[in-house]
Amino acid sequence: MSEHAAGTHDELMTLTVDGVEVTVPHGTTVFDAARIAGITIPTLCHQQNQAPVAVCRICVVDVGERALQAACIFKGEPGMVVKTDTEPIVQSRKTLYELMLSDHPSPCLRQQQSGDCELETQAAAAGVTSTRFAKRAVPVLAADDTSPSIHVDFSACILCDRCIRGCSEIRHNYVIARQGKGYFTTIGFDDNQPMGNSSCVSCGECMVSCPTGALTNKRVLGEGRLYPEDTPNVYNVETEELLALPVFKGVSGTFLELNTGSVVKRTFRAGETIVREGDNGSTAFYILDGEADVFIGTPREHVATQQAAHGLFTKMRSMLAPKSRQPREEERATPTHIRIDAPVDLPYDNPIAQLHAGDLFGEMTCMSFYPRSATVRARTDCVMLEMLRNVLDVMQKNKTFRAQLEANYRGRALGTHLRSVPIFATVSEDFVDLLRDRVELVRYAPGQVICTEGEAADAFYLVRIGFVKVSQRRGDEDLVLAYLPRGGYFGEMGLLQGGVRTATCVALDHVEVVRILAPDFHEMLARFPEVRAHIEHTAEQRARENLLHQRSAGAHSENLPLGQFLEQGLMDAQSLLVLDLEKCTRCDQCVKACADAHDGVTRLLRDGVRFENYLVATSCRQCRDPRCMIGCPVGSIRRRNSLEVIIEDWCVGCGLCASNCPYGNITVHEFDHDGNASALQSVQTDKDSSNSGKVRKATSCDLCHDLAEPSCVYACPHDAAHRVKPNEFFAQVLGVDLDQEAAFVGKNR
Amino acid sequence: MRIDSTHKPWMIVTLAAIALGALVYVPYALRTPVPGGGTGIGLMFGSVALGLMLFAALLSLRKRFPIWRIGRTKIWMRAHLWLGFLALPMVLFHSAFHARGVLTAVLMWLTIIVVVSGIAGAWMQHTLPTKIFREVPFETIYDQIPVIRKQLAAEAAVRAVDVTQRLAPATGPGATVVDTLLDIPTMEVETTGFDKFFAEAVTPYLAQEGARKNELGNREWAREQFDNFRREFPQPAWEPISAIEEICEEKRQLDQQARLHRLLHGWLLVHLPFSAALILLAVIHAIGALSY
Repeated sequence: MSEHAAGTHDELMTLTVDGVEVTVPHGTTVFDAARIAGITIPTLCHQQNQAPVAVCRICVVDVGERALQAACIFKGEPGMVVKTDTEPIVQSRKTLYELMLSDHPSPCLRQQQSGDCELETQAAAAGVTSTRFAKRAVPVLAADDTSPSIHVDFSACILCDRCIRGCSEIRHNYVIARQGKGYFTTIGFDDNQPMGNSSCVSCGECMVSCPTGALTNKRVLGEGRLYPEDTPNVYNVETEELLALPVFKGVSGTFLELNTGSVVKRTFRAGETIVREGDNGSTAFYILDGEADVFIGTPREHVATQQAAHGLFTKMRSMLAPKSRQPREEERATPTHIRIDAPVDLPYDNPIAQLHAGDLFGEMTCMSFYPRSATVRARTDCVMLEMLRNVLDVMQKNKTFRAQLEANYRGRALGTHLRSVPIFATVSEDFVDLLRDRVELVRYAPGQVICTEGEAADAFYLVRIGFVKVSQRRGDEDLVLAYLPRGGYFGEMGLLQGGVRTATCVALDHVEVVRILAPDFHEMLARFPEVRAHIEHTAEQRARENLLHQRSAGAHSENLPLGQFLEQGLMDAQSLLVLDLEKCTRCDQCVKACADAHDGVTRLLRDGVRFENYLVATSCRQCRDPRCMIGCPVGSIRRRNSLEVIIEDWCVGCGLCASNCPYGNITVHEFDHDGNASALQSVQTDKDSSNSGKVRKATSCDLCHDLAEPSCVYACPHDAAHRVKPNEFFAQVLGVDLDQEAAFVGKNR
Repeated sequence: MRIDSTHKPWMIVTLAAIALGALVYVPYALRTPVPGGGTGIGLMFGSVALGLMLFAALLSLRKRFPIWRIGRTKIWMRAHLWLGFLALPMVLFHSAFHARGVLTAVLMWLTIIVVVSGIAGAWMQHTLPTKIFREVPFETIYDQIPVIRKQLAAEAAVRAVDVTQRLAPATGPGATVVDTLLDIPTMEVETTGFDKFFAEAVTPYLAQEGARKNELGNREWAREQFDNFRREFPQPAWEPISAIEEICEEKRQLDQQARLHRLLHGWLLVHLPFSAALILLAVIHAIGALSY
């Protein structure tokens, strides 16, 4: 390094680029110095607004060093003589272009559409029109067309990292990164998800940064519309028209222009169904004009153990088969409302409500691709905007839109929401009015931590949309205590017990919470002693449950020699149905008993993983980390206080829980429904099949919870079927002393 | 069902009942000139035997309604086993070890067949589950065996294509730039031999249930054949060859499972109809004997 190299940015230095003297601040790169001197050095991976990475090596120059240096990253020095177009440099660039073109689908999509693929134009300018090298021999990932607005062509990617830096450095979205290694490296989205399934918000920065046709605007390609042209009652909305709407005030016109087709105007006649519960979807609706009914049409029925005793013979039979009822003192009360993906909750007894102009529904479906939670039918002629996630995401960040949504929520829904939470059921209207203006609506992105175990507790939270994971640190692993859906609440234990958070709460998806600050919370407890009593009771219950979790977890710590057990995921279970294969005669009496007990549909399969001579049947394991609960659009799959997972009677049969269960223990079946009379009949048409005929419900083993013993175990003729607590049972099988191990764990905690 | 220490109380009660019965029968038989079913003691033994048979028959009904809470099915099964066995000595005591007539002779033989078939069934239920567990690690649900067999055949067909693809890595999926520079031998003779073996031995073996006459049913022979192919082909082809070998092994095990399953449940084809005939004729015999 020369004696002048170590200067400050305030000081200037002079260097020569291709014979032109230029004076620049210390620390300026050779690339920038050349640019100031009016000399263009070609580059593919460097952009002015991004930190240089020097991966393409196109910008190499001769700076008098032993080797050519990348101009974008090499800092100039006083007196340096730079040459940018010597013969070795030109040849080096040409070879690089040839190598890149050998992997490039020339002409790529961008070159075809707009003729400005930087690789192909630069190569042509350098006189490189063909390549000596053989074309790509390695299969590349197929094109990704899942994003609503961006087409991904991996074969055109030159791994310049511009999109990565655009997504991270400029937009701070951190969606794109490299994945794979060596010749198989590609860009990837989140943990290698298809772009449309990732957390990409379609801001377009990556597309704008991409020098080739790897990331292309679908609009340019003539794609990316919600509906094909000429779809009846679907109207394209021009950017000017959208910007004229008050709710779009402040939204970037360029963004709307780039995403034309991602929001459409739709009209519905009175009586027309807009969305159906349980259907998959990816859009949200904003009501511009009109009114709609939102309801759950699926009959509320349990697929439960046969209880009915109609007729003499059945009554006699029911006398022979008395049910052993075990009242559960800690059982949560039947909920008063069913949570749905709308600004209102549906009353449990009569699940119907109305939506008006200015209401937004389908947020969770749009942001997190959960199934539709309810049926929406136009009550009057309606005009709505239907939008994809990229638009909704921008809208939710728009102050005007948010202010309107919040005003709607506070004015219409907050009181109902608060009242639907049992602890607030007795709170007076004037206190709700007091809270209405004091609560904060706060949004969290997927994975974002809401509060951390051990930090000071400063607020109480109600979950308005999304799912929140509640976990505690246990040794060096996280123990999931609960997944809270809409209507769930947390934070009360920290406020009541010493002001320190007792668990970590993380947003599993796009979450919005109602935050009630500590002073308001304490004021509420002071004014309403019954609320205090309820919260304290709930806090005690949760403390007991948490202790139960911890004891169960402690009994099976990593100190136990259960490698095989752990690998099969059995430690996550609280209850396993095991079949002793040395006693089982494969008579299927267990399966038959289960089917007889549950409307002819068995909830167990006599197949699954094996441990020693035991078969772990495919039947609900009542997992400690019940991933099946994540995303239920109506919150019908939940955990009782006794920790078993049950599916309530308002399940809409969407099947998301069945998809989420990693063990295949939940299935969705069609059952006959006899069409009981319902208050919903006034809004249901003859075409609505949900009130008669078939109904779809998710089913999983409920341990025959209203009987003393599960039917499968009771019916086994050979004493082969057992419901066991895995840690105790398998510790016994392996001859491990649980007490000794628990003592060891306790000592080393 | 394993006849283990939990059966001990039942065994004790049964043996005690036999001993008690013998204590009653022996003096009676010694004192009575013609002991038989028509005497008071004989009738008593006959009633007990019929009662035990009727109770044993109730197991079918109990299994028909598995969710009825009228005692655990395993208790009913044990009662069926031991009290059903007890019926035989009771019948012998009732008949004084004689069958005087066609009907009584038939009944005697039916009782023996039913009890002996029951003992055989109990023995099979005691031993075969362990045999299945040990010998058939690939065990599946019996009704699914034909479905699994079809899936195995489809998978084997795909793997067979992989064998030849792996021989030409430069042209197959997953080819690398390095491989394109290598000189790969075509191996026509070996490939033809493998294809012939697959078409004539593996495919029919996988398609057919049982296929005992197929040589692939012999594990040793199969291992030898696949070892030969692994010796003939280069290392990239070993993985699909081993996969096909594994598929044949799975099929072999499923055949074994099917055989053992039929044994485990097939004895009921003797036990059940003979039991039904026994009950029917026993009731007729009882009515007839009491009426006339």
